[in-house]
Amino acid sequence: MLLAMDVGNTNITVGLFLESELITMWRMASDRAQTWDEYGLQLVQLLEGEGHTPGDISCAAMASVVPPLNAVLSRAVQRYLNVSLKELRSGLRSLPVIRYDNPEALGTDRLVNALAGWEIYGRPQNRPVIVVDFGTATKLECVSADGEYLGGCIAPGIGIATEALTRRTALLQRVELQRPRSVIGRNVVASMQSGILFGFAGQADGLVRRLAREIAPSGPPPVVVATGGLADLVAPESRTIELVDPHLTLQGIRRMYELNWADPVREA
Amino acid sequence: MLLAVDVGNTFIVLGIFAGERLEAEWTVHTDPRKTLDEYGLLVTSLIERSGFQRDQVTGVTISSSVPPLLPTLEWMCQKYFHLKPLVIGPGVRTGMMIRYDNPREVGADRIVSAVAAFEKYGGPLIVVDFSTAIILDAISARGEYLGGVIAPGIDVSADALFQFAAKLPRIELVKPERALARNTVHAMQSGIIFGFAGMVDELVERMAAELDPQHQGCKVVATGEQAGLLAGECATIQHYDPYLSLNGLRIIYDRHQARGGR
Repeated sequence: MLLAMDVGNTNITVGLFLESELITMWRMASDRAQTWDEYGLQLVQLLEGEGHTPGDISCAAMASVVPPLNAVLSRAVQRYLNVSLKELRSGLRSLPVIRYDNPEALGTDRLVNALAGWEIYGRPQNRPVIVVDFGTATKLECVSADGEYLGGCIAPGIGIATEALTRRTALLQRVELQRPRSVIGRNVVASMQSGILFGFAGQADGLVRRLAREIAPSGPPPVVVATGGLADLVAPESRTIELVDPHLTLQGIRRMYELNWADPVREA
Repeated sequence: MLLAVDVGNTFIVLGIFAGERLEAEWTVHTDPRKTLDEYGLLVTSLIERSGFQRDQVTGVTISSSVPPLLPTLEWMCQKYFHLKPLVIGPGVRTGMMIRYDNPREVGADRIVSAVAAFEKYGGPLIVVDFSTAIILDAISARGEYLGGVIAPGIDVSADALFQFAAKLPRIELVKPERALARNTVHAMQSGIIFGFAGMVDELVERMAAELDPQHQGCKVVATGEQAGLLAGECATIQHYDPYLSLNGLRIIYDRHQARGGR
């Protein structure tokens, strides 16, 4: 089985694949203070908790945007799961064509999202695809129908922007993210719920509409797929997102691993 | 002349009015640690360097979103202008009916801008204030304050993005030529500028659908330090008025004087 790790600034998402099927997934906090022994132990416990053993893991791959964690996690996987953790980088095989000024500078998280978006949604429907990842940052990627990475954009994510707002303003408080009864709020909590939920849906829609106009001025419209921790919250309010795929990034990691190191992942 | 002071979380905006005319305005950064003497020196120097005398100031009015700064500024007015300022807050009559669960909870700055915007543009009206937060307020055709929406501001969000994302560089906030970006700096400029434009347009449209369901013509006015950057990108914004808060302070002060200071 393949262990896929998506290392973000807030969370590490771990997925277990049997061939192309995601069997289970876990989330851990991205904590730069933790050691390889702590991460290793956590991985073993999570595996055992679902009836697997470290011996079931035949290979492991990681896409990381937190460089200080890479060595720690590699050591954890080597020591506790006894396989080498392949670090996905932008120079490796992925989409057929990468249109980026310096392809090395394209974050691996963005690349694997683009790859999975195209392989699962764009290519089968012969349409361009726009992936919206609601993570620490909200990241959008565009891929043409024939697999050309075209570019994208990066906006402040819901969690960090909201937290920064409550930290920086004297009168505002933290609120639970849920849908308010009306858009116009008559108290501070309802006003913030409305601003955050409808506002960030608008942020994504505004960007998707502009990108769609630029990449597909004619021809079939792009498939718009959302992923990331807060996708389920925002997508129902969005006017452009067609579907939510919570496992898109992990699927991209699996696919990119296969393209570079293996034929489709076999059972160990 | 009237000295109007609008204390926000990031900036303090000051203006002096001769009658209804704004003669000069200044922006300084908000610093709750500054003493009353430091503020006194700063404000009197700004006034005198613009060619006015401090004893020409015959009235002061303040609205503050930063409670700890209020006593400092009140003492500053006493010491440097020998005036007791009119502080806009709960209990001061603004002339606007406030339809809010707890009217004391509405920030004074929001009511001040709403008063100025309704006076100038009429209702139904949406005021978009681009400051530390992006605040949108709804005012009915009859001039009632109906509440609004609060979303994270541009600078606050962009700063948070740079801090949290280890691999992202700090960038200058300028509008790129297109949304589709092929390098990280451009990707962030696009995401921030066009993303916030999309956010504001969506919020305005949803508010307008509740405020003005018959589409009788809802006005949309933007104000605040970052409105200049975004107003042109937002399809829904009709007017940009940078001095809404100062004018609102003047209007409320004048109404207060007309009632004999009660």
